[in-house]
Amino acid sequence: MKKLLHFLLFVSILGTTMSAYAVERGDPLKGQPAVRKRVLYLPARFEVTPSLGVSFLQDYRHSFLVGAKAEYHLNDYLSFGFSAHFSPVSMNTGLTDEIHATLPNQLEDDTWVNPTPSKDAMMDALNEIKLVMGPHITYTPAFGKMGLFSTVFFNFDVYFFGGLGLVMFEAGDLTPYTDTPDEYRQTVGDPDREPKLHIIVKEENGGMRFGPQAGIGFHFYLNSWMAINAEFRWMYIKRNAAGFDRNGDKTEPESINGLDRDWVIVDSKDESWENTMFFHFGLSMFFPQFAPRSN
Amino acid sequence: MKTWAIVLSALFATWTLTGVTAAHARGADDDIIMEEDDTSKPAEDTPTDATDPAATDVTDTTDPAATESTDAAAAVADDEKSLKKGDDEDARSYWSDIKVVPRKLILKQNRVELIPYMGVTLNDNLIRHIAFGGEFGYYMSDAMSIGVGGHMYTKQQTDRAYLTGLQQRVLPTLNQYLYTATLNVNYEAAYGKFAFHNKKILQWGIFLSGGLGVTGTEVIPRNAAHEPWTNMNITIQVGAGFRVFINQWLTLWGGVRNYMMQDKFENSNRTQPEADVGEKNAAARFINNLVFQVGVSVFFPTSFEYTTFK
Repeated sequence: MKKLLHFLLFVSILGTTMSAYAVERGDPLKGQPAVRKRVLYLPARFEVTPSLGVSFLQDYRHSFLVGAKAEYHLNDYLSFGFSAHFSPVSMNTGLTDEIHATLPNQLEDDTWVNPTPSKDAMMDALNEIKLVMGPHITYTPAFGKMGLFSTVFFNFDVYFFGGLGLVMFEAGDLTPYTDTPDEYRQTVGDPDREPKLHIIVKEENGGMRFGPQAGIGFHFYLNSWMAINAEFRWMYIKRNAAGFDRNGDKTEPESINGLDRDWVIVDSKDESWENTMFFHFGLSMFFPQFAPRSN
Repeated sequence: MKTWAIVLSALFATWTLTGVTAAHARGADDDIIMEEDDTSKPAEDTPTDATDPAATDVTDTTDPAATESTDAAAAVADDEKSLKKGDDEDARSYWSDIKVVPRKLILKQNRVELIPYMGVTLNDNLIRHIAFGGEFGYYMSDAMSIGVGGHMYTKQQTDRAYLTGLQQRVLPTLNQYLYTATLNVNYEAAYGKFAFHNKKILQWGIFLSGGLGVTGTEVIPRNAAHEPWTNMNITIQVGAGFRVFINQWLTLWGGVRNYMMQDKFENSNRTQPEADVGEKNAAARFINNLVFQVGVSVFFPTSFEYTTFK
């Protein structure tokens, strides 16, 4: 009996001691930062990023962009900024080339029956992105380091941003290819009259458009104050890229030479919301240049 | 009486030892609190090597593979202060089982990978395809795998396909994709890790992919009265993607692959409704079919043993 009591006491002492030790010791890393002694690239720093960009998944014209982004980082996670990019150059998409190759060189003789646009009319009607800009707020939730082919190692971070997007479109110009009811009346019956499209452009497909923008980007750090910046930007903008009517609205029919004639109306009602996407590639510079380390 | 004396002595010893161990633990916690105090010191107090990205080290505080790991350099630096406080032996034993570099979460060599995925075609303004498929691969090494993959497509004609007819009065010539199957070689070119809010460590990799296979397509006649026909095109696949490792057998997987082929389209002057005549006069064109794919990858066997020391 006494031996049993001694044994139980021993077990009690041992168990209490071990459990107390385990509970009190805990996980030494619990609540601690995952990374220590890391370079603090972002907090309280100003970032300037000159960059080149290109639109993609466009229907008719790809725009090449040149511009810059300015951003102030409040802390490791949050920043706000403004970006602006100008498009000096653009190029046709594959779809544009396909359509262009199919269209006739001249308008059809009877454009009441066959209003197919000519090659030039189709190209001149397209609108084109000239300026892309807008304010945004950025959230940088993650950072890390990576090895490329196990030889090159560098730090990076990934960020998401959202804000207001502003896009300025250069309008297409269908005027040389269209007539109005008055112009038509004056030339009807003239055997030398040039064929025209019977379209009234009430509102051009150019000007400034607003919409939401969002995106994701990466900084690949070269040193404490320079980084390669790759960014994907999505904007949702209302536009009429082709420059022709899409909703079928027309003027009231009027009798000309004994025939009822109506004109197709092109206006802002022919616009639709479209995804407009860009890829930017730039060099980020952070100021002040010194980046401290965390503890 | 003697027995009761033993019991009382034992209980006293129990309480005393519990207090000692708790004090020991609190002493260790004090060491950690000291680190936080250090953050208020000027940055010049700590050596800075901003140009050496590899100098930054990462610790996973929640991950099974990395809870054993931390930045030993930081730990040692902080421990120096505790050593001065006369707590040296305890501190050393406290951090001694913590490793510098977390191990790879997944070792892939000699394992097979199954990837169910879905995708969407990116680069056709007039017709969009949604793809559902999978890939099966075998890892010859930790970086390289060979496998076979394939998917079926469902088509969606876009607004632009309709508007092209309305606005430019042109009927587009379109083919729809039916399926793609390729033999692939994948190579994990980059491997990295990132910290989410400086709390959770995730490991990820970038892979490059190449392959050879076939893609089935079907002509969509411009004239509904004309017969369609199907093509089977030799396909070259190149692509790149990424994966984020979740545990020892599961990753989130995504990528963009370009399936390149010489496809046959309806001739723009087609007048005969018969499919064989249309196919005979078909117009050939080289096609880049970009597909964005996302899925999960599951490794079998689902567990493995590390063959090297921590």
